[in-house]
Amino acid sequence: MKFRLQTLTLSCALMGGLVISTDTFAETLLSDQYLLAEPSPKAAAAGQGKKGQEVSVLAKKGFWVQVKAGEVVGWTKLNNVKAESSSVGLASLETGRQASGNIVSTSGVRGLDGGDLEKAQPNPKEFAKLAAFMENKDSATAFAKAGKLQTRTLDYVQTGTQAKSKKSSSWLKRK
Amino acid sequence: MNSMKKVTLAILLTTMSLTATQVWGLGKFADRLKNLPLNNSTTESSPSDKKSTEAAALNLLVGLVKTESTEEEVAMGQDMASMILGAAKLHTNKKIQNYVNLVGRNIASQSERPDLPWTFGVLDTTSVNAFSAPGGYVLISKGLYDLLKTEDELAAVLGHEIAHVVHKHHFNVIKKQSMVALGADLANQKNDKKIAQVATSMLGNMMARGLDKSSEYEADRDGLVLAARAGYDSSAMLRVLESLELHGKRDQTALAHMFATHPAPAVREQEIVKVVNNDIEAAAVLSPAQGRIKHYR
Repeated sequence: MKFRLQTLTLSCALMGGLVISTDTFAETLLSDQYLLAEPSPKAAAAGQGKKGQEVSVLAKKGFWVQVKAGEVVGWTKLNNVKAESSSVGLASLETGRQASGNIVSTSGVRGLDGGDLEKAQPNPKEFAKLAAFMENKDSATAFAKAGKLQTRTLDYVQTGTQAKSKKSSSWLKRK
Repeated sequence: MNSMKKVTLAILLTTMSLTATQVWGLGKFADRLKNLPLNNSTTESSPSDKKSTEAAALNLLVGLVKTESTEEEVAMGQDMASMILGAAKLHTNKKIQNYVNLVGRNIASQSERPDLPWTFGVLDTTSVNAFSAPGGYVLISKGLYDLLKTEDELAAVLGHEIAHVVHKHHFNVIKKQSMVALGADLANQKNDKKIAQVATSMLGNMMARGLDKSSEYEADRDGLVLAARAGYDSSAMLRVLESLELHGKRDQTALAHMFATHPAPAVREQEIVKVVNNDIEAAAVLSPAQGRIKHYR
């Protein structure tokens, strides 16, 4: 993806969301669409964009991007813009340890790569320190309350594959 | 040496530095092995005895693999966390450790497994990565922590790791690998040393090789839902992925291994964007607690 974070601007105005200014990079629109005046489906149209039209990404907010299509500046959803992966190059960097197939790793801390982890010995003393930091549910809830956090009821998004594979998973209950 | 002794030897070697109950289910497994009739025999077993012993041992392995015991899952996670901490210690800033535990525990409480012994830690390394281990153990590197600009972003990272635990991603892979490796060696009558090596390297292999991409994408999707349930910005993971991508360009060494073994941040972002629905989009709002992380540096 060509979006590059250049500066981070906390903008609590309007919708109270995070607006991120980006370098301007050319992307393309995936369909004919209206570009909106605000990052909201209810916003007025600022103009139109065409499928395949090259646009510049000006900013991002939530799941929206602000683009410049010709003379029109407007917002569209991220999935309406073609996202090219510039990270693919980084993903194939030689590191002395290659992933095989579609296996990925959860390791990789410097000095703690796959080889080091395979050779690592348990450290019960350090684990005891870790265990001592465990917080109980009530303390965490109180901390959330102090931060004015409000819980939401939200379902997981079920993909086709998930729905198939979890038919027999009785433990996975929706909140 | 008959197969029974092979298995017993493997367990003994495996548990040299750990108590039996700390080794994911092998404590119970060993107890059950002791009760097998041929285990006490000092005479050479007949071929039919050997065969029945092998069958019994394999049945027990199958039982281990199929177990749904939370106790064994937690024991496995403790071993994994302890091994990670054997390679990188906790950061000495207790304020940060407490903060991450409070934020993480609250998110975990929104999951389908709120009663696990959820424990969080920050590793003392400038590299960028995060780990989760079965049973509710989550470790993030100080390098990654320092990249996070808001509490919402911290919640996104912790939510991702919590989702791995909720879905038992690591636990299921280790069980499967155990079955394949130990079961095959038993069946093929390989030497004792090989069996012991397989048993002792299982956790290390798991941490080095990890999960498949679909598990990572699932953790991304469900992690942002968990964070949003707790009141955080559902789009914060996108900001984290952007930071990872940017930081990777500035300091490839810090993230090289992560990028070589994880789906690229931009690809993960695409996968997230694909599944955004109206409810998730409505939760894409910075939380009131977003700036709190500044007090925990």
